[in-house]
Amino acid sequence: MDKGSDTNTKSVLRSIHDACVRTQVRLQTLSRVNEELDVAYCSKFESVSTVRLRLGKAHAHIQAACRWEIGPDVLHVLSPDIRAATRILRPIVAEFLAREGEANELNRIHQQLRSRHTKLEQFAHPTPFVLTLSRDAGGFDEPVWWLYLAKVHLSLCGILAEYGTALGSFAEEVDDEKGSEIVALLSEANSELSTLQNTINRLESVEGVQAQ
Amino acid sequence: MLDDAAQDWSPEPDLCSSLPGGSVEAYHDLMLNFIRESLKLIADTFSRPEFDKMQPDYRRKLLLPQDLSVEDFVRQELVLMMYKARLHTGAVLAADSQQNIHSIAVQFRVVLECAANVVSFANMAAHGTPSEYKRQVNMREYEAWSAMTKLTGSTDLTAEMREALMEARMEVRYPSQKDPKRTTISDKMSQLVLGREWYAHLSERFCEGDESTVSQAPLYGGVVSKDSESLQFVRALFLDHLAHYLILMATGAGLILSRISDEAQLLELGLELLARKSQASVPMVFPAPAEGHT
Repeated sequence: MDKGSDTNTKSVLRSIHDACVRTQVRLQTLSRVNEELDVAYCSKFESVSTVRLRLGKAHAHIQAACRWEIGPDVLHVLSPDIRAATRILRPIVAEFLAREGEANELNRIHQQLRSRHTKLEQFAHPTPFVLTLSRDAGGFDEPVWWLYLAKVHLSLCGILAEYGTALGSFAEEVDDEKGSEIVALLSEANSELSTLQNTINRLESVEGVQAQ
Repeated sequence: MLDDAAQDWSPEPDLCSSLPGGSVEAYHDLMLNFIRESLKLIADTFSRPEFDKMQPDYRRKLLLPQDLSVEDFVRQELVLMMYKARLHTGAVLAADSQQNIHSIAVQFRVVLECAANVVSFANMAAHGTPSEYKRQVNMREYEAWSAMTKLTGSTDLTAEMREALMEARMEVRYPSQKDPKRTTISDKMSQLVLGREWYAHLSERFCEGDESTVSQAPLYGGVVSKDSESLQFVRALFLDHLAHYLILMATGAGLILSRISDEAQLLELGLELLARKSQASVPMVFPAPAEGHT
C-alpha cells in the first residue's frame, strides 16, 4: 500500500469510527426521549400498553449497547443486545410500517437506514469454526478494518432505525412534538450514512469486497 | 424454590436468611466473587507464554491450522473460546453494575454456548469412545458447513469446499463420503446439566421478544418489577448459574489440556473451585414455556 492510499484508508477509518460514536450518542438521545415519553404516557393513561413495555425492554438493551467504546472486540459485545432489541421492537415497527404508507417520512428514513442491514447471528452463536473467521464475521481473525467498522456502523444504524421508528410510533399516541424530534435525529443519521456510503462504495470498487 | 406461577416473585424474609451468604446482597456479592475468581483462573492459565502466539491479537492474523501442531490447534481453539467467554462475561458484569437484567441474560446465553462447546469437547476427551468421537466430528463439520453456506449465501457447499472437507476427513481418519447430519444448539446444550433448560429460558424470554413475556417479572423476561431487592435477587441467581457454567468450562478446558500435555493445574484448580461453588447455589426452577413455545 503506498503512502497516499494508507493515509486515505486511515482517514476513512477515522470517519467511520467517528460516525459509530455519533450513532451511539443518537441512541442515547433516543433512550432519553423514551424515558420522557414513558413519563408522559403514565400521566396520560392508566392502561398497560404492550408497546410501552416493549420499549422498556429495548431501552435496557440500548443502554447496554451505548456503553462500549468502538474497538476491535466491540461487535462481539454489541451483538447480543442489538439482536435482542431488534426482536423486541420488530412487532411495533412492522405494524407502523404497514400502517403508514411510503409517503410517511419516518417510514422512508427507516427504509434507507436499514437498507444495508447486517446480520449478527454468528456473533451470538460461537463455534470453534466461527471463532476462526474474521472479526466482521463473528470470529477473531484480522479483518479488513474499514469493512469491520462499516459493519459496526451499519449495525448501529439498523438498531437506531428500529428504535427511532418504534418510538415515533409511540410518540404519535403520547406526544407529537417528540415525534418531530425523532424524525430530525434519524434524518441526520441518514445523511451521515449516505455520505459515508459514497466513501465505502469507492473503497468497495477499489478492493472488490462488500460491506454487508 | 421458585413458584412456577409466581409472576412477580421476590424472596421471602425467612428464605433470605437461608440464601448463600445469608442475605440477597451477600448472595449477590458471593456470586460476583465466584465469577471474578473463575475469570482470574482462566486468565492466569491462558496468559502463559505457550499460549502467546494463539491469542486473538487485533494487530495480527490468527495462525492457520496447517501451521499448528495438533496440540497447538487444540490450544488455539480453547484460547479463542475462553476469550469469547471472557468478553461476554465482562459484558455481564458491566450490565450487572447497571442493574440491567435484560443485558445480563442475552450475554449469559453466549457464555452458555461457549461452555457447551468446551464441555462437549471435554466429554469426548474424557470418554474417548468411537461414538463420542463421531458425534464431535459430525457436529464440527455441520457447524463449519452451516457457517460457510451462510457466509456465501448458498444452500450447499461448492465443489471446492466439498473437496477440502473430504481432505480434512482423511486427515482425521474419518473417510466418510456422507454429508454431516444436522445438529442443533440444543444437542450441544444437552452436554450441560440444565443446559437446555437455561438456553430455552434465556432464548424464549429474553431474546425472542414474545408479547407474553414483557408484562412479566424480570426473572421471566419482563419489565415489571416490584423492588430493588427482588431485582438484585434475580441478578444474583443469574450470576450464580453463570458462575457455575464458567467454572465448568474452565475445568473442561483443564481436562482437555491435561490430555494433550502434562498440564494439570487448570483441571485441579477448576475442580476445587467447582466443589466450592456447588456448596453455594440456589436452584433455578424454570417456568412453563412462554406462550407460543413448546
